Amino acid sequence: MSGFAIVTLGSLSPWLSLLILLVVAFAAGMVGAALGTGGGIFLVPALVLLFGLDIHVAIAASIVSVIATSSAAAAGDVETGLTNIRLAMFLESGTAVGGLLGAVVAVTILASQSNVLVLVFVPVILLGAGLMLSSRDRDIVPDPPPDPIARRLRLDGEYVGPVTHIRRSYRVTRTPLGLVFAFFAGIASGLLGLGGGIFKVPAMNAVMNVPLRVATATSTFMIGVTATAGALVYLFAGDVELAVAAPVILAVFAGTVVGRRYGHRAPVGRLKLLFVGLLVAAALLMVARAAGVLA
Amino acid sequence: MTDASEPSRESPRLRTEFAGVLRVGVLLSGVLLLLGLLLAVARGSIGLAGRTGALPFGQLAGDLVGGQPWAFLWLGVVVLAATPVIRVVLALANFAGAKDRDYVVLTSFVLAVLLASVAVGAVA
Repeated sequence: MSGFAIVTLGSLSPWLSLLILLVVAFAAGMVGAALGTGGGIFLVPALVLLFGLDIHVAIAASIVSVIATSSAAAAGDVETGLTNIRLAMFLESGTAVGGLLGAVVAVTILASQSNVLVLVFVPVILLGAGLMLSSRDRDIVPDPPPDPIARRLRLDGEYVGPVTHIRRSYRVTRTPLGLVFAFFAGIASGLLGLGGGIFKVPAMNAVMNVPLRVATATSTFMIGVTATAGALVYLFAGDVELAVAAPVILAVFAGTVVGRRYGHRAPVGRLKLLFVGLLVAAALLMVARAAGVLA
Repeated sequence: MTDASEPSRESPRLRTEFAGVLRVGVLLSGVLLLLGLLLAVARGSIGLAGRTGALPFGQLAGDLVGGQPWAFLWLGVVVLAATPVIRVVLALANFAGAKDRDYVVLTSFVLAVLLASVAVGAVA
């Protein structure tokens, strides 16, 4: 029997199911890149609802695909200097611990509690949908409250505006609160297989006074370490199902490349509403599934 | 330049190294995964059933040579997960070289958490 038989969609053949898996993962990667959220928040519900996969397998596949997309996407901004590497190192100390804890909870306490995990996913989907709707570029202030940690760790930075090409400096503030947000973003990543950028970017922008473009680049860079803290747990616990994870990684990655290249041409404003609708529908279906209404 | 400009401009060499590690890691992993997937399609199976996480590394070399799809897929995922770890090690070496104690402590802590993930996963 084929080793791909674990991924079957209804009565379809394993090969057709594999093809559909590739298409779904590609779409999740493309949409995630175009919206700047990463694909995980779409991918995990799709794998659970369409393929009937155990959410642990979906999460494990998602979290390793997150490493691939983050690493590839981060490289460019790291080189040009947009990424604030010091800020990333500082916040990673929170996201990595969160990622480890989240993954440990998923593979131990919730190992046989897939329905609980499905239900935990629901509010996070809804929160993500809400953040997607309300996201905007908050203006940074020139003189935020002084922050001794930011000062000691030299977290302030500067960046060159994309359109204006004017060099602008920014001052980082409220580092303790930022670290708390990073920790919870890490938990969401490790527990649910997400990158967590949807939470890290607003935290850096709205709380820590980091310009949106820098926050996005820095979040993408951090996600590699955040997801790896969780992914290593899943990997060595034996939860990464290679027959699912390998095609998902490749397809999400390809989708991300296409989404980043052509995403700016998409009518993101209108698309956003569509995807928020999709997320809400996914949340309802997940509840129905956990309640046993949906097989 | 004012001191506010220092942080994001301080280490272009480190930035280039980071970008290089990330690109090479993803590329190598992608090649391994693609190879494994093509082998699996050719053979009609990945060669191992079920969840294949805590695999004996001893079996890996032989099965790679034998063209077993799972071995390429497993190695591809391991390379992927190792990429950010190598990036942290690189940062640690850089900060140690610059005698930047705060950041040596920070990056050591992050590295310790990542290694703890391996240990905890293996035990769980």
